[in-house]
Amino acid sequence: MNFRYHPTQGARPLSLLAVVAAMAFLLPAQVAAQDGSVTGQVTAATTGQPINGAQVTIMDTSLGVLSNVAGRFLINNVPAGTHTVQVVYVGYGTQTQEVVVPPGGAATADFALGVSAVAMDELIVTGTAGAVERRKLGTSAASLNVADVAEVVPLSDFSQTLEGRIPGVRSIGTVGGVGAGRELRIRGTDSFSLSQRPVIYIDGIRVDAQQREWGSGIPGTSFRTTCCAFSGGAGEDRLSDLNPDEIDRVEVLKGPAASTLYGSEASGGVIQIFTKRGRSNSAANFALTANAGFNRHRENFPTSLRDNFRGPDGTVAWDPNETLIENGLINSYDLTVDGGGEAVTYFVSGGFSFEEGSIKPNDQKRANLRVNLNWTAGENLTIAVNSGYVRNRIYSLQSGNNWLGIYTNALLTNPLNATAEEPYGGGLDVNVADAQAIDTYSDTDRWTGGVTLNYNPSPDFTHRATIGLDAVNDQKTRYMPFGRNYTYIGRQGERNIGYRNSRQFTAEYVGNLNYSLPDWAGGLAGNLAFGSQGYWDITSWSMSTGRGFAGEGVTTVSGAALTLGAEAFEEDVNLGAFVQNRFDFDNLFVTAAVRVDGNSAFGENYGFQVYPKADVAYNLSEGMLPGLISSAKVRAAVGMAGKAPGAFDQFQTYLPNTVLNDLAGVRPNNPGNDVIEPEVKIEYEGGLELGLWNDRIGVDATYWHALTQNALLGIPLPPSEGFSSSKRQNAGEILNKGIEVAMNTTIMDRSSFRWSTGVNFEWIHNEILDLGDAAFPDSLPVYGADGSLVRWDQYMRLGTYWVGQPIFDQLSRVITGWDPATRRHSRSAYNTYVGNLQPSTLASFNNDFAIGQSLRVAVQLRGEWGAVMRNSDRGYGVRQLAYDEYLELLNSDGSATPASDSLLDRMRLVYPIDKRDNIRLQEVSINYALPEGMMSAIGLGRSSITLSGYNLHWWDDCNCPDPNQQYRGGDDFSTSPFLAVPQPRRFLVSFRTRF
Amino acid sequence: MNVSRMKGMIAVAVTVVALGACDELLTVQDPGRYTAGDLDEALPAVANGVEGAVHQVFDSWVTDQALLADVYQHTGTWAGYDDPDHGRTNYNNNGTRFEQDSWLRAQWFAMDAEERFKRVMGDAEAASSPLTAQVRMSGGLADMLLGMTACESVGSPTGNLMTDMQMLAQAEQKLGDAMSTAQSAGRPEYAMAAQAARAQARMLQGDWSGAVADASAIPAGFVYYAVFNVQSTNSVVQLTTKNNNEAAGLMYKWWPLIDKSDDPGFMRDPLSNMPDKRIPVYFDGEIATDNETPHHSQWKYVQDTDDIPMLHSDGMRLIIAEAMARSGDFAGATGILNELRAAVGLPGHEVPTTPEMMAEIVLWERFAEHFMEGQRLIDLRRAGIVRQVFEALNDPDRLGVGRPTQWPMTSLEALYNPNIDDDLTKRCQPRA
Repeated sequence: MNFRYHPTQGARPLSLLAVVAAMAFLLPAQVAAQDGSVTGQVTAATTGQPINGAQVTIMDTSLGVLSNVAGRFLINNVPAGTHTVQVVYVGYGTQTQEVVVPPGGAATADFALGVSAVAMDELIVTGTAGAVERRKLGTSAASLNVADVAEVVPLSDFSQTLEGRIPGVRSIGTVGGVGAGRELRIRGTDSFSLSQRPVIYIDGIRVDAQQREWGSGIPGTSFRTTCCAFSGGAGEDRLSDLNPDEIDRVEVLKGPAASTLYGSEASGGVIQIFTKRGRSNSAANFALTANAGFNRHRENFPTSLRDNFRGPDGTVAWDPNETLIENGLINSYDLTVDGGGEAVTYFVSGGFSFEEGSIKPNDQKRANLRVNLNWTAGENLTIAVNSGYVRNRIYSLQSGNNWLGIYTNALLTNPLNATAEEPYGGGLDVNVADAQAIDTYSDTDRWTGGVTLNYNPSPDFTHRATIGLDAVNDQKTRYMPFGRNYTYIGRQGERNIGYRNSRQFTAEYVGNLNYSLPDWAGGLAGNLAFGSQGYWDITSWSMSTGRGFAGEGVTTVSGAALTLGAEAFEEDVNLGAFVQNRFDFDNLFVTAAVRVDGNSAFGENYGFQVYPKADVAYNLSEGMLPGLISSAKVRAAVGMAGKAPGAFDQFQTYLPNTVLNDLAGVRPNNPGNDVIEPEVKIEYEGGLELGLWNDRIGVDATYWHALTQNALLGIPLPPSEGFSSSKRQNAGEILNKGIEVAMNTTIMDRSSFRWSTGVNFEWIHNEILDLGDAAFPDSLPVYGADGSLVRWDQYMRLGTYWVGQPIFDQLSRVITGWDPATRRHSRSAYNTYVGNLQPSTLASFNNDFAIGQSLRVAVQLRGEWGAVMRNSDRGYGVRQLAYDEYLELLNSDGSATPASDSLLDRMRLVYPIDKRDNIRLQEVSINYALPEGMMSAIGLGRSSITLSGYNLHWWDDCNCPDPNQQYRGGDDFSTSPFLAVPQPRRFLVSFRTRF
Repeated sequence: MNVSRMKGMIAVAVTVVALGACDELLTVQDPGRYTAGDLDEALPAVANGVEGAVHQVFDSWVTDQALLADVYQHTGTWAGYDDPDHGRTNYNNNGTRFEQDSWLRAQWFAMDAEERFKRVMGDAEAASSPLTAQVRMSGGLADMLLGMTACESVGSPTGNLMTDMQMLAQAEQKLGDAMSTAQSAGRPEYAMAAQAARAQARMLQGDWSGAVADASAIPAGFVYYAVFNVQSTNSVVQLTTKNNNEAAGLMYKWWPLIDKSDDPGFMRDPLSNMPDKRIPVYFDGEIATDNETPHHSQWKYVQDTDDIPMLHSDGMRLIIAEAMARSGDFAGATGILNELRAAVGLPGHEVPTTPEMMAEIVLWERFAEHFMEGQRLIDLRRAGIVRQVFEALNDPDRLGVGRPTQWPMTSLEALYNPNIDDDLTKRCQPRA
C-alpha cells in the first residue's frame, strides 16, 4: 500500500489518516528526470565582496549548498526544468531567482545581496523539532554566526563569543585565571539550589558544561581530603575545552517558551553549538589562523602605597601591581580544511593554543582536533559523523577564598611586616613564593562525537536520528613541595590526585511531516513533528591525598606518611517523548507541542512530568504597514520546561562516617523525598520584530515573564529530627521577568565606508514569590542614612531567602553611630536589605566599521547597572592593614592615626557595600585585509591581520579592582567578589589566511 | 532507501518512545550511602556513629567556649571568631549552633538506634547489649553537653523547650540508665564514662552530694576522650594553633604568664612562677593571621588527630574538692588541689581563710586542670563572676552591652521545630 506525498505548496491535501499511516510505511521512490546543475556567485551589492557561507537552495527540493570563500556555489543533480533559487545570509536581504535548468546542462544565477537588518528567512533548528524559518517562530530564539564574528574579532573562548551579542545572555568573570572561563546565565536566576548554567549541546549531543571546583564537591569527602579543593577558586571551565575556530554558529533558547522540547533540563535555557561543515562540490579550502599576544592585569590593585613602607629588617614592601602582574604570553594556531565532492563533504580542524595568565604560575595548553563528515548515502539519506577531541592541560592558578591563593597572600599583607624572605609582608601565613611553588594541574582528555542520520523520503516527510557521547576524563593534581610552609599542613608537603570521569550519552529521534488538510477541512497547511529524546549521565570521582614526605625527592601519594582516599558516583537518566504541530495560515503560524519526561531523579512515587507549549507568529503583510515599516512580525509564546532534582535527592540515606579510633560509623544524612518533582518554569513572552526603512534597521523587542514553580528548597529539619541535610522539597516560587531589545542597523553603506551598529538592552526583575509552608514571618529593619532605625518591614523568610526580595539579595548590618569618647563605631544589631547582587540592567553597544575594501574596526562597549556587592575584599584588606585606603591614613613611619583607627574599627564591624555599576570597553579590533595580489603571489588567498584588545578598560565606582567578577564557579552566580582575581586585559595580533 | 530501512528507523523510534515508559531504566542508586534498611546489618556502625557524633564537634565547642570565656581571643580574619571574642552573640551569630545541632542529632540517633536494636535483636537481647549501653551513654552525654552549653534546648524530636537545668536532669536520668545497661552488658568503660558524666551533670545542677558520690567512684587514671582521627581531625589544632591557621590565640590577659621561646613551653603558675605542665603553650614572637596580634598558642593539642579529654579522674577530684570547699572544708579541698599540683611538680597552696580565697583557688586550679577542655565559661558563670572578670580587663569592647554567660539555643531548632515560637527574640540569652 502506497501513499502519495504532496509538497506543502500547491499540493493536494493529504488526509490525517494518511499522515498517521505514512509514519509507518515507506514512500514510493521518486523518479528523476535527466538532471542538470545550477551555479553562480553571491556578493555584497555595495562592496562587491564575495559572501562566504550563504545558504543557496533550490526551493521545493532538498537541494542546497553553502557558498564558498569566493562566494561561488554549484548545485548538482537539479532536475531539469524551471526552479527558484533562494539565497539567505544573515545581515543581507534574501533573494530569489528563477532559473531554467536544461537537461544535462547548467543554469547560472548570480546574486548581489543588499544589506538587511532583518533575517526572517534564517533557519532555526534548536527547539523547533526541525529547521524552521524565523518568520514562523513564535519565540525569541537567538542565533549568532560565530564564524562571521571571528572574521573580525579573534575569539579566545566560547563565553566571550556570546557576551554582549545576545540580549538575555549574561556572563561574568570568574576567578581562576586562564582556563577558568566565564560564567553564563540566561534570563536571570530561576532556581534556589540547582545549577543555573544553561544546558549545552554540540551538534545535537548534550555535553558536560561544568564549571566548578569539584575537588571540594565530592560527596562524602572531608576537609582533610580536599582542603581548599585544588586551586580554591572557580575550577576549570569545561567550555574552555571548545575551540571557537571550530564553531560555525550558535543558537540560544532563552527559556521554556522556546525550550519546552528539551524537557527536564531546559528551564535555564539551551545553547546549541554547530560546528563547521564541509561544502559539496568544493575544492579543499585551507584556512590558517595564528594569534600571538599577551594577557596583562590592569595595575589597579589597591596596594600602590605599599612601597612607601618598610618592614622590620628595612625591606621595602612589594607592591603586587609592580611585582605580581606580568605579561602572560598567548600563542595559538588553527589549521582547517573543508571541501567535498558530490557525496561526501568534510571539515577537518586542528588547533593548538598556549596561554599564560598574568599572575603566574597559570597557563593553559590546549590541542583540538575535529573531523566532521557528511555522506549523502542515498537519494534521501545523509549521514553526518562528528568527532571532536581535545586535550586541555591547565596549570591552575591558586586563587579565590583559599589559604594558598597567590593574589590573596600578596594583597592581604601588612607592608610593615615585609622582610627579605617575605617582601609582601607575610600574607595569611603562606609566603607568596611558597604559594607559587605549588604545582596544580588539570589534565583533560575529551571526546565528543555523534552520528546523525537524516532520512528525507520527500521534502515533506523527514526523519532525523542522532546518537552521541561526550566523554570527559579530567585528572587534577596538586603538589605542595616538602620544606615550604603551607599553613594547615606545615612543611611536610602534600600530594593530591583527583579523577572526574563524565559520560553523557544522548539519543534523539525527530520526525517531521509537512501536510495539508483536506479541502473540506480548510486546506490548511501544517507541520507535525514527533520524537523522543533521552540522555544518560554518569559521573564518577575519586580522590587520593598523601601528606607528609620524609624529604625532597618523592612526590607520589603512596610515598607520603598519611594517605587518604575518597570516591563518589552519580547517575542520571532521562527519557522523553514529544509531539508538536504547527498550522500555517498564510502569514499566521500557530504551534502547539507537548513533551513527557521520566527522570531517574524524580521521586519514586512521582511519575512523569508533562511540559506543554504553544506559540504564534504573525507576519504583517506590506499593505498593513505604514511606510516607515518595511516588515513586521508579532509573536507570542507560552511554554513550560523543567529542571530535574539532584541525582539522589529522593533517597533517605545515612553517610559513612569514620569515628573514634578509625572505626566504621554512620550518621543520618539525607532525609529523602520520594515524591520529589522537577522544578517547572512557565514562561510567557511576547515580541515584536520590525524592519524599518526597507529593512535597514532591525528591531527585536521581547517582554518575558517566567514563573518557576515547585522550586526546590532545602527545608531544614530541626536538628532534633536527626538528619543533617535539609529536605529537598518542591515549595518555592520565583518570578523573573524582563525586557530585551536588540536593534541592528547599517548606518552607512557605501563602497568606501560602512558602519553597522547594534545595541542590545536588557532589564530583569527577580523576586521570590513563595517559600512554602516552612517559611516563617520575620522582619528586616530599614535604616536611614544616619544609621537610625526608620521602620521594620515584614517578610516571610526561609534560611537566607525572603519573600519579596531577589534570590541574591544582599543583607548587611549598617554603621549606626560613632562615639568620639571611645573612638568606636556602633553597628546595627540586625541585617537590613541593601540591594541586589545581580544587575537589573545591562546594555551593549557593538560597532563594525568597514573602511574601504581592506580595513574593518569593531568596538564593543558593555554596561551593567543596579547591583551592589558586599565588598568583603575591601573590608578584609583594611582589617589586614593592607590596602591603600588604610595605608594612606597612616603616619609616614607607619604608625596609626585617629583616622586609620576609625577606618579599621568600621571595617571590623561591617563590610562596606559598594555599587557594581560599570561601563566596560570590552572589545576593540582592527582588521586589515592584506592585498590579494600580494598574497596570491605567495600562493595565499584572502588574508588579514588583526590587532585586538579584550576587556580593555572599565569605569566604575566599586572601590575594587573589577566589579564584574566572582570567586566561585559556574554553579554559583552570587557575584561575591571575595578574593576574586580580576580578569586580565588581552592583547592579540592575529593573522588569518586561506589557501 | 528501501522499505525495510524505513521501517527499521521507525521501529527504533517507537522503541525509544516505548522505553521511555520503562521504570527500570529510570532506576538508579547511590553506592556511596547507606539506606535505613542497610543499617539493620550494621548495628555496631550505628552505635559507633552515635558516639562519634558526640565527639566530632567537641573540638569546635572547646574553641567557642574559650572565645566566649576569657581564654581565647580572635587573631584571624573570620567574623565567626571575632563576634564571640567580643561578646557579640545572638541567634544568627551563635558560635555553638553547629555543636548543638550535632548533639541534638546524636540525641535523636541514640533513640532511633535503641529502637533499631530492639527491632533487630529483640527486646531482651537489646536490653543487655553493649551496643545499647554505648548509645545510651552517648545520648546522655549529648544531653549533658547541651545542658552545659545553651540556656535552653529540646530533649526529644521536635520536643518542647527545656531549660538547661531540665536538660541536665534528663542527662542524669539517661546516664543512670546507661550505667546499669553497661554493667549488665559487661562494659565497665561505658559505665564509668556515664558515671563521670553524671557526676558533672549533678554538680551543674547543684546536687553536690550526688556529684561527689559519682565522682568518688571514678578510679584514678580514668579518662574519657573525644576521639579524633585522620578524617574527623581536631579543629582546635587546625584553626587556632601555631603553624596552622592561628585564627585564635590565648587572650592577652595570659600573655604576662607566657615566655617567649623558640621551643614550646608552659604557662607560669601565678603562685610559684614555675611552669605549669597542665598548661602547655607556645609563643615564639610571630604575628598571627590578622597581621597584627602576637600569636600565643595553646600547645596541649599539637597534632590534628590529638584527642581532647571530656571526662577524667582529675576532674572528678576537682568536683570533690569544690564540694568540700562549698561545705567549708577548706583544708580538705586544698589538700586535694595540692595533690593535683604536686603531680605536676608545683608547690601547694596554703589553706585559705575565706570563702572568696578558696573560690579563687578552685577557679584557678580548674582552669589549669581543664585547660582547653571547654569548662572555663561554665566555671565563671557558676561563680557568677563573668562581668567581674571582663570589667577587670578594662576592655569595654569585650564587655559590650553585657557579656553573654551562656549561648542561645541553636536557631535551626528554634525556627524549624513546630513546638517553638519562631520569634527568636523570645529565646533566652543571659548576659552578665
